[in-house]
Amino acid sequence: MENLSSLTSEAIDAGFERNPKKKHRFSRRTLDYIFVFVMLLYPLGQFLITWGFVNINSLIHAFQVADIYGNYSWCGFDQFAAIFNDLFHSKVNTTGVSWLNNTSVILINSLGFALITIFISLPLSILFSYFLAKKMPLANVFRVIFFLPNIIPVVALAFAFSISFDSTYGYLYDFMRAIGFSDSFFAVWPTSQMMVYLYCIWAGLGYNVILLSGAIGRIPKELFESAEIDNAGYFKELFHVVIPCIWPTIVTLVVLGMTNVLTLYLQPYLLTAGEGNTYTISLDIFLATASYSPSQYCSAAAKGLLCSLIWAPLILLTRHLISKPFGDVDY
Amino acid sequence: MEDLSNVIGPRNPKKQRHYGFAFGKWAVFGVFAIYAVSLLFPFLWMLLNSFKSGEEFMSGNLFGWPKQFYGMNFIEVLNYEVEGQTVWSMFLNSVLVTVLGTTINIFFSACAAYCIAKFRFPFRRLIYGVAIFTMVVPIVGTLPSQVVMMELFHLQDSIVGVLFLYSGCFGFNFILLYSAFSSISWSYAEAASMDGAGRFKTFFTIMLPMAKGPIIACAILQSITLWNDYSTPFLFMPSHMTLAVGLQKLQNELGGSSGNYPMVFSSMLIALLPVLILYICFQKKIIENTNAGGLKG
Repeated sequence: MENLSSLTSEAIDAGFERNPKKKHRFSRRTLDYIFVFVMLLYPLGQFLITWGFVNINSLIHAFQVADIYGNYSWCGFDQFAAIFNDLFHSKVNTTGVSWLNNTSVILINSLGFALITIFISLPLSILFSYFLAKKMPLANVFRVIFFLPNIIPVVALAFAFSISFDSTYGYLYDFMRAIGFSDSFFAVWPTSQMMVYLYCIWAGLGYNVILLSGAIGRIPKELFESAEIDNAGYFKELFHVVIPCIWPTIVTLVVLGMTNVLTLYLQPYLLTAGEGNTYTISLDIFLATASYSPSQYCSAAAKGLLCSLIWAPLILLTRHLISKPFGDVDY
Repeated sequence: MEDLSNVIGPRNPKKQRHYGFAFGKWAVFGVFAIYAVSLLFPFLWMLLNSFKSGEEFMSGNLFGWPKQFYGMNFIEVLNYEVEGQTVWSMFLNSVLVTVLGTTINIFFSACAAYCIAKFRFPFRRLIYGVAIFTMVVPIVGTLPSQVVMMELFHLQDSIVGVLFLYSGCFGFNFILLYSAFSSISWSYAEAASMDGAGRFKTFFTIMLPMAKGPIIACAILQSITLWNDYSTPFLFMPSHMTLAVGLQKLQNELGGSSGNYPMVFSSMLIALLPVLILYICFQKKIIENTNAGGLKG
C-alpha cells in the first residue's frame, strides 16, 4: 500500500485551499478524499457488482447444481467431471466424422478461430497494411472501406454475407457450386464451420489493417530510406524493417486472436444459430444463458471456469514468449 | 557527363526495384479493389433491391434496376410488428439506449479517469491495475451469473438494467481518458483555484472542456458500439427490443424462400443509416481513435 504520509496530490500542490476567501472545516487532504470518494462511488460500486459479484457467483455456480426453479446445491467437481465425460465419451455425433463427437467439435471449432486469426488473417493484414503504406493509389479510400465492417451492425453484416450464398437469391451460390462445394453451405460440418471462418476473415481484416497501418505509419522514414539505399526488395524490407518495428502490435493481435477462442459466439450464432455443428465454447454458454433456465447455468459456469483456467495462462505464456524476439521497440 | 543510369537501363538495381514495386503495387491494388468491392457490393445490392416490390424481387429481378421505385418498403417495415413491437419502436429504443448509455458511460469514465490521473489516494494504483487486468485477461462463463445478478437487483428485462450494465467505466474509454487527463497541465486547475473554484467546479468547468477532443472521440466510438450491440439488449431487455435484436427476428420472420426480402433489406439499411452518417462525419476521428487503442509499435 502506498505510504500516505509521503504522498501529496496534485490537487494539494495546486493549493485549492490557498484561496483566502474560503475557509473549510476539513483539511485539504480530507477534502481531496471526499472529492475522490464522491467521484468514484458509483464507478467502483458498479464495478464491484458487475465484475466482483458476478465472478464470485460464477465461481460458486461451477461447484453447484440447480433445478429448474433455481434451487442450488453443492456438487463438488461433478460439473467438471461431466464436461470431461462428455468430451471423451459422448456418443452423440452428427458431425459425419467418426472420431469427433458433438462436444469435441465445439473445442475444435473454437481453437480454429485462434488458428485462422493468427495464421491467415494476421499475415494477410500485415501484407495489406504494408502495401497501403507504400503510397498505393486510393489508399485512403481503401482504408475507409476496409474499416466499414467495424461500424456496421453485426446482424446486418452477417445477413449480407449469408444472403450472398443463399440457394435462391445468392449471387455467389453458383460460384461456390462451381468450385466444388456441395449444397447447403451452412448446414453440414465442416463446410458450415469453414463458412463461419470465411466470414470472420472477411469481416475482421479491416480492423487489423487499421491497427497495423497505424503502426507502420509510425516507423521513421529514415529506416525505409536506409532499406532503399541497401537495395532491399519488398520482402527484405517487410521482414527486416517493418515486422520488427511493428512487433508489439503483432503480439497484441496474436493475443486478441487467442482470446477469440473463448469469446467468439455472435458470428456463428447469427450465421447458423449453431446449426451444422458450428457451436463454440462461448456460443454454448451464451445459449445456456439465453435459456433462462438455472439448471443450465451451473454447467455453463463450470465450462467457462475450466476454459479460462486452461486458456488464460496459455495466452499470457504465449505473449511472454513471442514478445522476446524483438523486445520492446523504441524509436 | 552522360547520365549513367540511362545507359545501364533496366539492369540498374534501383530501376529493377522500381519496376518490381510498380508491378507488385498494381497486383496488390487489384486484390484491394476486389476486397473493397466484396465489402460494398452486398449493401449496394440491398439498397437497389430495397426499392423493389416483393413481387418484383421474387420474380427474379435480382440485379436489374427497379421497374418502378417502390419506397413503401421503408414505411411498411417501420410499422411492421415483431413479437408485438414495431420496428419504429425498436428504432426509438435503440436511440434511447445509445444516447443515454453513451452519456452515462463517458461521464463515469471521465470521473474515474480524472480522479486516478490527478489525485493520489490509497488503492489508486490497484484500481488502475485491475482496470487493465480485466481488459487483458478473458474470463468466460459469467453470463449466467450476470442474469442472476440482474434478477437479484430486479433489473432484468428493463432499460434501466441495460443502462446499468453500460455504465461500467473501467474499459477502453477509461484508459484513453486517463491518458488525456494525465497530459493536461495542472496549472489550469491552479489558476481556477486562485479564482475560488472548488474541486467539482474545476472538474466540470475546466478539465472536462479541456478534454473535449478525446471525450467526443470516445463518445462516437461508444455510441456506434451501443447502437450495434446485440447480446446485452437480447439477454437483458427482451421486452424492449432494440433494432439490432429486432433485425435478427425480422430476418427470420420475413426471410426464407417465400419471404419479403426487400422489406428485410430496408430494415437493414434503416439500422445502418445512423452509424453510416456518424462514420461519414467523423471517419478520421474514428480511425485515429482505433489506431490509438493503446498499441505501441
